[in-house]
Amino acid sequence: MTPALLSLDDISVTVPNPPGAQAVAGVDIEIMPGEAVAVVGESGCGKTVTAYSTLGLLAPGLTASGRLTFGGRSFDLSDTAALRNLRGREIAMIFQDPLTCLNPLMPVGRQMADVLRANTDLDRRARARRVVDLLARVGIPAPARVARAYPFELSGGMRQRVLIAMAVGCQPRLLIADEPTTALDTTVQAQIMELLRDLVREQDMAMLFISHDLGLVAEFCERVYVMYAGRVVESGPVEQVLSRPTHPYTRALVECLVTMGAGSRRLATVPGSVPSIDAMPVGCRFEPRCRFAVSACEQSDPPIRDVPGRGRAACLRAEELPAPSGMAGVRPAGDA
Amino acid sequence: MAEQLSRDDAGTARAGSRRPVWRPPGWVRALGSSLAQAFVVAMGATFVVFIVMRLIPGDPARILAGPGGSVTAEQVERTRRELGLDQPLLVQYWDWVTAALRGDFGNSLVLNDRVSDLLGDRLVVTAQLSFYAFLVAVVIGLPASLLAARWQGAAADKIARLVGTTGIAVPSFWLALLLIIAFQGVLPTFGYVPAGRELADHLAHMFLPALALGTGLATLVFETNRAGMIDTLGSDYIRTSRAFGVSEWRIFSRYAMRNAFLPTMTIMAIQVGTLMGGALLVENAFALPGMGRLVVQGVLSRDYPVVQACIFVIVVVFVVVNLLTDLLYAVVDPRIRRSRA
Amino acid sequence: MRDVDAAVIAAGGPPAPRRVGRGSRLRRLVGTPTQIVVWTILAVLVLAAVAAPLIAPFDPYTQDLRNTLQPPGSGHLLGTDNFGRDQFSRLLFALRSSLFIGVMTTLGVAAVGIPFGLVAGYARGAVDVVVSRMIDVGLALPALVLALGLIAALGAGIRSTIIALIAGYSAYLARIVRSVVLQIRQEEYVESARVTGVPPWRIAIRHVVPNVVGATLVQLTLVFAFAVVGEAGLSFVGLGVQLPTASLGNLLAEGSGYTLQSPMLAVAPGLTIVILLIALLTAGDGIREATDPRRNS
Repeated sequence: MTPALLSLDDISVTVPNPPGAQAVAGVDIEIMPGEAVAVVGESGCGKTVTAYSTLGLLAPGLTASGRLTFGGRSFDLSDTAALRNLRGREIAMIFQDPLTCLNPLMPVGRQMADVLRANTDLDRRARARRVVDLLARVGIPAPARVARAYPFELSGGMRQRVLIAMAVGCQPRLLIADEPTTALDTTVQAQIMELLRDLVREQDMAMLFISHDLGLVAEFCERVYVMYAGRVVESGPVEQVLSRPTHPYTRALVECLVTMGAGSRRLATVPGSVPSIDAMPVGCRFEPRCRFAVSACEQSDPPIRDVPGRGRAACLRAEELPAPSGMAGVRPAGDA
Repeated sequence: MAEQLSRDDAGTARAGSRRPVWRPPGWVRALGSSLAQAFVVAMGATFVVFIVMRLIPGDPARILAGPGGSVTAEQVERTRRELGLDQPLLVQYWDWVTAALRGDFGNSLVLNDRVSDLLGDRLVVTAQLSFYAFLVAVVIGLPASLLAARWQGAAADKIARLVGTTGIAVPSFWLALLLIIAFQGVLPTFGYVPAGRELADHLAHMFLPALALGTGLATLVFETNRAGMIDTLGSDYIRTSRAFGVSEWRIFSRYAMRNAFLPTMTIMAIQVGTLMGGALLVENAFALPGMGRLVVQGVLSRDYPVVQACIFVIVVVFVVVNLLTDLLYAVVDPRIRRSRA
Repeated sequence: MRDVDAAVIAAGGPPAPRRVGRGSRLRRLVGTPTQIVVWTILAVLVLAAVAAPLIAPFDPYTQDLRNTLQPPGSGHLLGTDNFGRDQFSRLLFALRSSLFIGVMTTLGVAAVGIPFGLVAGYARGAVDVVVSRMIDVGLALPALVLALGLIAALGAGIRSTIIALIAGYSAYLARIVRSVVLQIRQEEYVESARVTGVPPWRIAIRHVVPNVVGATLVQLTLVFAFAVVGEAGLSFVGLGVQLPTASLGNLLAEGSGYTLQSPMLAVAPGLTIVILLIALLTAGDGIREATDPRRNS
């Protein structure tokens, strides 16, 4: 078995207020070279914070702990200075809102050139040429003109393409895409996702795709981690997790999607809301909202474990739960 | 792909489909509207000054015609006509403004001298003091704000807040007295030496006054720029640059400093008028022969041409500096320079 | 003589809508140790000013030419001035006139600046343009400079000082009120109220006025501070309160002549100004935090 490209081992992120509270608590994630992996969950479940912690990008006040291994090198997540070595060349990241993510006072080409300067040995003129090439590669017409444009002169889709071009220019081995299409129109969304898929294949990059959109995940990713309240509650191949979810939370998520697809008159929802960070249940964090909960669930938070024949899940009753109604027709990205 | 892209483009780009035949580029319109606004403000402010001066009781024609009872009604009328005081107010205002722009502020009612001659050297002193104070503010305030932005935290926040509050709470003219008390016998605390004669001596004499006047502005520059830096350093686009491995130093020096400085620059420009007003007081404490003494005498003796002229100069400087700042902003900020909307 | 731009920055925009009981708001206002200290200082200063005739150990205007420029102590808490008058008693009476000028100026600025700001923020079309330009014009005239002009016209004195300072600072308040109104108008809850047909005057009373009051109170503490400094500045050069009446600025002006012999004469009134101002500004911070639910949940 090939070694993982990236493995996150027991990642926790502590917030300043209330003292000691954790936004992410003991998360393990592995990504193989060239693999497209998704992290899904509601907003506030800790998926973005997990991604930021891997590059030492957490906001001041937040502290991360745990180990990160990337291409055989091991890092302590609290050592943000060391993590800087990964940025760009090894791991590149694109973000949700492509407008605020570009410096408003600088032509996008110069921003790209700055990134190339930090990550390649190209000289000034070679950088300028490379910028135009990269813009052309991500499907931007008139790339030389766009390189001189300012962010406010570009549409949302164009700006996200610029960021993707920036990422590709670093030739990273892993691309982290944090909800890259959430701020875009639906039509543009599909274009961007296809572009990402093409680039990932062409450059042999791995991708960590952070999303709350199970549809996109089903279409573009091979494996998925489901996060809830700062923990991974289920993981496995996309096809298996979405068509035969094990954890009650994943079931609930999938059911929301299924009822929507089936044109049901009543939308299924997950009752209740994510527990607040300063009032985490002692037991299973999903227990207050779980329709399968029993009294044992209140006692302790179950660790994630292998469930025979069903991937990994963090549920006491994983084996005994009735067969779920999953997403029909979900095919992993690899079979297309 | 091309077709999809054009849709993508037209979907969100504002300039898209209905492009007018020709519209002037953003900076031209920015220039136009800045000029127009500066003009309106300058006219309005000088008009206010002009009207206020007309509230001064007493008949300037009578005062100017000659002393006491020796003047006949006829002489007073002649003076009135000569000075244009029999014209409608708006005409008088226009005559005054156009003459003032040529540097002609009329004659002092009290000192028997042309106001422009009275202003001359004093204006230089006040301008020098304001300029040095400005330098003090920039030289102290900006580096301090950069350091404070580099080392953020709860304690730094408290200190910054205290500095800001103290900056407003310590009046420049009292700081002047404190500096005089503290540096008596060490540095010159009295009088003025022209720059042309002995530069070192000139600077020595201006040092304490500039420090007294500039410290308040320095705290404002510090506070504004620190807040701007912290804001910028926490922005999404800085995070992007970090994520892509751009060095922390380059981010700080190339991205954050530039972007944070724009709002600071605007605030500093707005302070120019206040700074010159403060200069009038600080000059008084250090016995500098600037406009301060002149304007105070003018107010006390109701010498309205003198007071009018001093205020006119300050208003014009304020408007011009703010106009230049607007234009600089339009040049630096592409959203204004290149906007077509 | 600094102006309101620091305040604009400090204000950080208008407060969000809120509905809090009076009791809890008061508790929030004086909830922190800093605020307790600050309000205590303000209370002591106000009491000292009001009760000055009762607590002053000497008459502030009685000269004693055999005992001029006495050092602090020696029977006079803060020493005596160049006419042998008791500096501490003069300080109490100075505080009295300076606070009076501060209060009157603040009231006047509120009476002028709030209506102008409301109109400029609420009106559209020509009225908005005219009033907004008037505010711009006011801003181009630094408060102290405009005050100089007015005093030339009105003659020096307490009344003129108050009028001049009101004229000087009204434009600042008007601009802030205007920006608060403009921001509230854009808030979604106001927009939705308008769309659902709530009449404009009701929107004004229910949404705009409460928010303007919160933001304005903070600004008024600043205006108070500026008025105190403004008086001091004008009196410092002899254009404000006229001698022999004691005011903080007059004491500074008198003390400035004796920096070598009796520095305390210049230090004490200045220090009083600084303490008063820091207390006012910090109290303003407290009011902002108590009226802005986004800052403390």
